[in-house]
This record gives sequence, C-alpha cells and structure tokens, in this order.
Amino acid sequence: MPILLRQARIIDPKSKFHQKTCDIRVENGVITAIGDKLDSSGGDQEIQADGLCVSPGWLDMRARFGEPGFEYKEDLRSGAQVAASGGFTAVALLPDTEPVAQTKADIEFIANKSRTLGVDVLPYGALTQDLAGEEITEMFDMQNSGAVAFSNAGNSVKSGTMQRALLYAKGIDGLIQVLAQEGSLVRGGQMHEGYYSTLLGLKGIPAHAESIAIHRDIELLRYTGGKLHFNLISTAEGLDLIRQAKKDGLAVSCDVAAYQLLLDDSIMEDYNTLYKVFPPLRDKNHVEAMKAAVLDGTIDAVVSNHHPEDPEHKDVEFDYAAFGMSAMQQTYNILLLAMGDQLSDERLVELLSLNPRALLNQNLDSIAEGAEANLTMFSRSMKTQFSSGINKSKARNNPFLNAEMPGKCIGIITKGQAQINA
Amino acid sequence: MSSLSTRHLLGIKQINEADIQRIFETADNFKAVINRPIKKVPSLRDITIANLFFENSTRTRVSFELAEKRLSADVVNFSSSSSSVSKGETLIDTVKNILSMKVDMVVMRHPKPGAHIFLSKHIDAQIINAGDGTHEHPTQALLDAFSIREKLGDVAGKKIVIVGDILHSRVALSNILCLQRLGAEVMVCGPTTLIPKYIDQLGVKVEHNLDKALAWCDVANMLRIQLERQDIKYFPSLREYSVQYGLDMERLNRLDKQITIMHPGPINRGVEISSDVADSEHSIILQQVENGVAVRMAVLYLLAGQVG
Repeated sequence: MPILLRQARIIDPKSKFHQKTCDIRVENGVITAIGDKLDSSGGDQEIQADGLCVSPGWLDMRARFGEPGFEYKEDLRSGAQVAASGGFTAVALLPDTEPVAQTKADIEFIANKSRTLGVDVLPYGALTQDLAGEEITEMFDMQNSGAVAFSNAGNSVKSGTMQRALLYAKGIDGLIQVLAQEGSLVRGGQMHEGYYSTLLGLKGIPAHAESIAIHRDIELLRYTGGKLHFNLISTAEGLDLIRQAKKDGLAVSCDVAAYQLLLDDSIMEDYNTLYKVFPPLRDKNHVEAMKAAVLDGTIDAVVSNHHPEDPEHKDVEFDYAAFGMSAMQQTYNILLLAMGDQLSDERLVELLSLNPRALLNQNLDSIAEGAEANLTMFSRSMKTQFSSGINKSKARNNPFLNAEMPGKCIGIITKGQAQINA
Repeated sequence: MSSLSTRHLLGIKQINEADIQRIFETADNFKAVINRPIKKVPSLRDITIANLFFENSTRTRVSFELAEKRLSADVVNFSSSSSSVSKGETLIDTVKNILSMKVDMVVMRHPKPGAHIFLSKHIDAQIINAGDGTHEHPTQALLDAFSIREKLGDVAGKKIVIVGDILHSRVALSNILCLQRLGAEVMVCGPTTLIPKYIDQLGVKVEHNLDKALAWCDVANMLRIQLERQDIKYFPSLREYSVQYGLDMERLNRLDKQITIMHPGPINRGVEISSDVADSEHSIILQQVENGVAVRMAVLYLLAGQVG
C-alpha cells in the first residue's frame, strides 16, 4: 500500500527539502513524490501527527540482542521490534554473544537470520579472540561477511594487542571501537566513585579509569594512524582528551549512551539495580560536561547501549546484579528529556542518523524523489505514555517502562514497509 | 508502646535524632533490667525473631540473641554455613521461606552493601540491619554512642576519632552518621590507602598522623584491621601498620589529658591496640559489649511495637 506522510518537516541537511514541510509519498519502498499538497490516491496509508518530522533512518551504534546464546533475554526478532519502535531502521550489535561473534560463520549467522527482520541488523566482529584482549581475530574475513566494525564489547584490551589491532584494521580500512576503561582501576567497582559511593558503601569506579584508558588509546592511534571510535564516554576528562585529539587531526570519534545524559549517581541512593550500568552513572558535573559535548560536536553519536537482562540477574543484591539497562525503545524520549530545546532537530538527526551511518559506512541517499525510503518519523510536540503493553523487549530492566515522556517516535519506513507505533 | 519513625532499622541514615534519643532512653531502662537478678522481661512474648547471618559473626549474633531472649521473644538462628544459600537459593527466596513459618522480625547480617534495603522492598517483616558489607552497622553505632554518653555524660560537642580501616568499615560509616546526628565532631585517621577519597564530603576531618589525632580527640575508637575484607594489599605489613597506627600506653602517656578508648571488637591485641591499653581504665571496651545487649533490646522493643 502506498504511504502518504502529511505535512512532515524534513530534517536532512543534504536534502534540498531540508527544514521544509511537505507531503511525501512512498510506493514500493521508494519516495515517489514530495510536494506541498499531494492528492490522496484513495488507497494510501496516510500518516499525520502533531509536529511530524521525518529524517533519514536512525542507526543505533551499540546494542545487544542476546542471540545467539542469551535468547531468553532478547533475540534478534524481539530486538528488531524494539529498534523499530524506538525509531531505528538499523542497529549494530556487539559481539559478546555465546559463542562470541569472532569468525566469518558467526557473522553470517547473524546476517542471515536478520535478513527478514524489519530493520537492518549490523553485526560487529570481536576485536580479540574470545574477547580476551590478547590475540586479534580474522577481521578481514569477518568484514567481507558483513561485520561493520570491530569491538571488544565491555572487555579491556592489552596495549600491545591494541596497537597491532589498530595497525591491522588500518590495512583493511576497518573501524575499531573501544570502551576505554582501565581494568585494574575498575576492579570490582559498582558505581561512580564519589560522595554517593562513599555514603552507600559501594566500591567506586573512579573517573580517571576512563581518562587513563582513553589517553593510552589516543597515543596508540597517534603512532599507528588509522581511525578509532570510543564508546560510551562518561567523564569530562575523557571528553577533553577526545576534543584535543580531534583538534590534533586524529581520526577519532565517540558516542554516549542517552541515559548518561539524563541520570546521575544521586539516583542510586536506594540501591536500585536498574541504574547499575557500565560505565556507571556519573555525578552532575560529568553529566553537564557530556551534555555540552553533545552540543559542541565532540560527541558524534548517541546510542541506546541496550543491554537486556533477566530478573535473575537484576533482582538481586546490588553487588551481584548485572550491569546494563534495556531502554532502546525510549532513546529518543530520554534524549529529549535530558537535552530539552537546547538540542535542535538537526543536531538530533546528526547524532542518531547521519554520524553513525557515516562511521559505519551505512550512508543513505538524501531525501528526494526517486530515493529509497529509509526514514524515521518523530514528533517533539507529542508525548509517549509507555506501559508494559507497548514494551517490545523481552527484558524489563528498564526504569522507563511505565514513564510518560516527552516526544514520540511515530514510526519508521524501511525495507518497503511502514512500522507505525500506536 | 512508643516506637520509632521507621518500620525497620536499615541504617542510621534512615532514622532521626529523636529516634536515637528514644532508643537511648529505652536502653537505660533495659540496662537496669539486665543488671537485676532476674534479667528477663516479657515484652516480646509471642514475637518470633529470625537471626539470619549470611556472614560470620560471633559477638553480634550472641548479643542479638541475648537481647531477644531477655525480652522473651522466640528466636531462630540461621547462618550461611548451614543454609541453602550455597545451593543457589536467592536471598528473597531464603527469607520468604523463613517468613512462611510465621516469623515477625528479621535480624540480618549480609556481606553485600544495601542488602537490607533490597530485602525491605520484597518482604513484609521488620528488618534490623546487623551489618551489610562495607555499608552500615547501625546497632554498633548506637551502642558506641550510648557508651560515650554513659562515660562522658553527653555526645554533643565531643571530639571522636575513628582509627583504622575506614574504607572497608561499616562501623565507621554508621558511627560517623550517628555521632554527627548527635552533635559530635568526627575525625577519621588511618593510612591514606584505607581512607575513602571522598570521606571529607561527609563532613568529617581527615588525619593521617595518629599522635595528632589523639591530641585532638576526647574519644578514640580503634577499629579492627579487617584483613578478610581486603582483596589486595592496602599497606605493606601488619608490623608497619602497628608502628604507625597501633595504640599503646607510651602514646597515651605522651598526651596531656585523659581520653576514652573504644573498640568494636574482636581485638587484634598488639596490632591496632596493645594489651595494656585495652585492659586499662581508659578503655570502655567491655562496657560497649554490655551496652550492646541493652541497646539491641531497646531497638527490638521499639520496632516490635509495630509488628502486625
């Protein structure tokens, strides 16, 4: 059925329709008409909403769907539904599955199983064998099978290995992603080290565990050349290092988890394990630094860091609980709640779509007649009342499950079909 | 029956100054009771209390058990060595199983911070924290403050230094919060590696020289070095620790005043405190133990008023 978007503001800086409010018709997965007031053919599926915006499809650069190995927490099918509902037409998945995604066969399994899903699923290959941080994997082989980048998930990598990995990836024009945290300083840590960790008697994870690791990797990159993407930056000092590395002309980029921009460590006061995430929720000063970096361009992308967990891993004593939050469906709402009007729709689309797509070589044609329709529709002026009924995830480790939040993901159009949220 | 402002005693954090004063006044009465020939009162008859110890303890468990028995409560003990915890049962399941046998109150010690707060969200019974990992040990703090009040007349305005491993100590955090609430000034003293980086944000003074700390204080609370809680080495050797932070008579004699010495026990004689100091007239270590029973009776009594 043809789809007709009524009075949608187009947010796509490369499109000649950027910031214009138009009707858009999509037929068989292609944008066939853009105009002031398109006539309804009668059989159109019409979409209209208060404050409707449309942009190139969003891409979530960091998520876990648990398949293979942890299908009871999330699987590719349920995960794809979460992504679609959260406005993402593509999602990149971490390799820390069981078994670890570290061979051509592992990558092909995910690619094949995802082919019929409603969103594009982009696997990352493991950077080191068994994610142990010691020996590099067959990156070239995995790249040819569809791995869009290489990551060691949450595990640290030894300096020598990182240097070899950066050199090797440079040779195949591969992108390495790193969650930079110095393991010997994180060691057993449960939350951000500061006033609240002292008051709660929980072992702290100091901010410099991050900046030391970022500094190491920047120095390695200065030596090796090539490019490097930092995941989940959570500290002011880490951001300063990346800001400087960018000024120095190094090919570095970074992302931040949406929830890190909204929540700080004061929320841990009653030991709620829903807020136990890694890197940990930082204090207010770090949160302000992250928000500033979102606006000034130091941060390139916002991710969900979707990490589904079952109650057996969350409904336990704080020290025993797993790290992670599974709020991909609310990414847009969290971002709006954290940033408010400071964040323009144009910057938002850069963070959620254009930049992550460029980093992972998933660029789309700009919005125009004749272009393939890979679109996200959203509205800042609407609200969303979340509830168990509209939770698409198998997991419930999400503090926003029943929240009323600003903004609404209206839906996505990709792979020839529209998936519209109720 | 008067009671406290909260249903549970999860930590000092959750009670106010009026609660603490009420506990002290009640403990005064119970202290008189346990010094009578007949040490028992019928206050908690028909109330069943489970002592759940998921971590080793001798004195705290004995102190609670005596307090419960002197109040005529029915008591059941459960410790992790004889539990199903090792078989993989969760904390909630374990406690719910025990509560199904009609238990009214739970006294729990647990190795992990916040375990009591977690449990309080899942069960109905009243919970008393007998120590949660490196977080709080509220009845210890109450009995320490009660003992200072008994010895010096009042806690307000007094200067108290807590010496030793502050980083791994639940006694330290509860003591800081309790003493501050009662108007005392608190200092912590110990090796830099065992003092939490952000402890000054709790409004305490920090000192690394024991002699200076002793010269400042009215009361020194010497904590035990908890080697079992240290996963890595925070100081090179016990000998070196003892040289810097061990309290002996020579140190005390250098002071131009009398100070009161406390210790939550068990003592490592010759490490943090020498025998002559521990057994001296300055020490109120055994009074602390005696007051522990009275203070725990008071807490149990005041919370039991809300059973049902």
